[in-house]
Amino acid sequence: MKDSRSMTFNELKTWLRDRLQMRGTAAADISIRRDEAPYERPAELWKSGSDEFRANFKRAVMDLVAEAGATPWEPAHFNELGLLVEAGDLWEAVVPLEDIAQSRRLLGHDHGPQLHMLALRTLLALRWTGTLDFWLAQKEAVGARWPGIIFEGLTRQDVDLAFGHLPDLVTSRETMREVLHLFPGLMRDLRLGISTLRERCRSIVDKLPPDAAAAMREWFRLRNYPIELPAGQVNLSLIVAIQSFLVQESGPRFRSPMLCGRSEGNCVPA
Amino acid sequence: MSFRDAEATDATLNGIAAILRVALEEPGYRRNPHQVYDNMDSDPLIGMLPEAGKPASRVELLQHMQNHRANPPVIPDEVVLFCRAKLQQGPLVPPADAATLGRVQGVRSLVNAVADATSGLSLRNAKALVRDVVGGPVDSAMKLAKQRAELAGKALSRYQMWCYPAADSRNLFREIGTTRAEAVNILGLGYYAYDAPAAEIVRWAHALPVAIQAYQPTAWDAGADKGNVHWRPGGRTYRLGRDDFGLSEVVHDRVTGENLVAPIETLS
Repeated sequence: MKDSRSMTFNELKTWLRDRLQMRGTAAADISIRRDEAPYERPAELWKSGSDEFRANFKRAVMDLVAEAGATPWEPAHFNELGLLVEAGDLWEAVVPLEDIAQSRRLLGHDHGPQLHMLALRTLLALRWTGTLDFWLAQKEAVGARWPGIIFEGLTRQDVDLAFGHLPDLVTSRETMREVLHLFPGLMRDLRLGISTLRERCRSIVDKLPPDAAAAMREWFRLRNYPIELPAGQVNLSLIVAIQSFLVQESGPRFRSPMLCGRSEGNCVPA
Repeated sequence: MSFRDAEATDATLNGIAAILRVALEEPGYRRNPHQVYDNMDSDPLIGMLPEAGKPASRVELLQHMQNHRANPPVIPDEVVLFCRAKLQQGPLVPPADAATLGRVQGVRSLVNAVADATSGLSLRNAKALVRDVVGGPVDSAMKLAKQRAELAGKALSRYQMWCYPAADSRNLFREIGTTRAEAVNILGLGYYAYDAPAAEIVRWAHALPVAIQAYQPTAWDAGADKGNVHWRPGGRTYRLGRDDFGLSEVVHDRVTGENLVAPIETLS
């Protein structure tokens, strides 16, 4: 196989397409034994390539995204293209991917919702935010199977709003798990502590379908943060809130002389 | 019955074994630059001629390569593709002998598997999920419960899995030691020893669901991927550090999180 760094643009594009689709000799050097994914080597080449190679590479990837949007690829192959875009942080792919997502043209094909979801997932991976209306409109397209995608999109608009929509998004244990899988990434990206996350979940857990609520409770239980506090247990978050409030009010405006232990009868301004 | 013997059965194959041997040479592997060829040539599970119910034969590989005699540079890739189409053709391992299987794998491949085409998780989110479930509770039972719940339905690798049958149900990792270096050595994972010595790897143990069977690997499973010089035929791993075999090994289709019986833990 010719070294991909010395390929012409068309050779590179063909090599990339074949490799991502695990086709022929372009995929022969993928190590099955050590579980190498097809996108890994191209992503490494992209990161270490010369300027000329990177220009060709980027152009080839954009062409392939457009191609996959016009004549749908198999989901596994489109997934691989998305992983390459994400691993290479090829943010220029936002334009063709947004076009695919806005047009909804993949939805009419075989595996349409899955392909549409993969386009949305790649957009989110590129830190695309979309709009509130856009994400709410995705419910009919992918919401039944991948509500996590919509939830993640909504968090890009407003975290509280996203949690507010959760009872409308999840319908079962499985769909709840789709959302719960996002929590570790959400905590990292939004710098949310598990206590804060629990507070948000606690506010909506009773509005969820029973199976979904059970899955959410289990998620917190497995982290030693039960979502409902056992009776008699002090709510640490409440203590934090009280302390926070008291810091702001650390100096009462007036103290009772009686409480201060003063007998003069004068109130002491704070 | 070697490639030479297979070649002798068909006059049109004359000379192709020598071409194959040269094409598969890996000069960088000083122990034996022709190791990959020799693996295929000496694997007792592979016969000379086609036989029903047995792994593909040597003559079939030679016949396939015959089509590329005029273009030897493509032969290594063609051998890889030939092998890839002949996976899990070795003898079935009785379920009792593969009751609990240990596996060592790169974290990156675990992340890739979690971010599969049916998942709403990007690589970044898959990585965060994996970090969350592999880290977390110190208590092993709690960690296992968490991983089985969070990774339920998620394949743990992309392709077939290479594993060792754990002998001691009370200490599933006794055979591979406690460190990354020990595990890599005894399992013969040359890639993680020499090419990616800093790559993060994990270990775990799982039980096979009824629908998945384990097979003794053949040279076709090992394939001709670069770096597979560290494998040896015979059903046991081959140590990196000395000329000696390690553990029994099997291959099987990938399993999912609910099949875990010992939690995924980082090897350092």
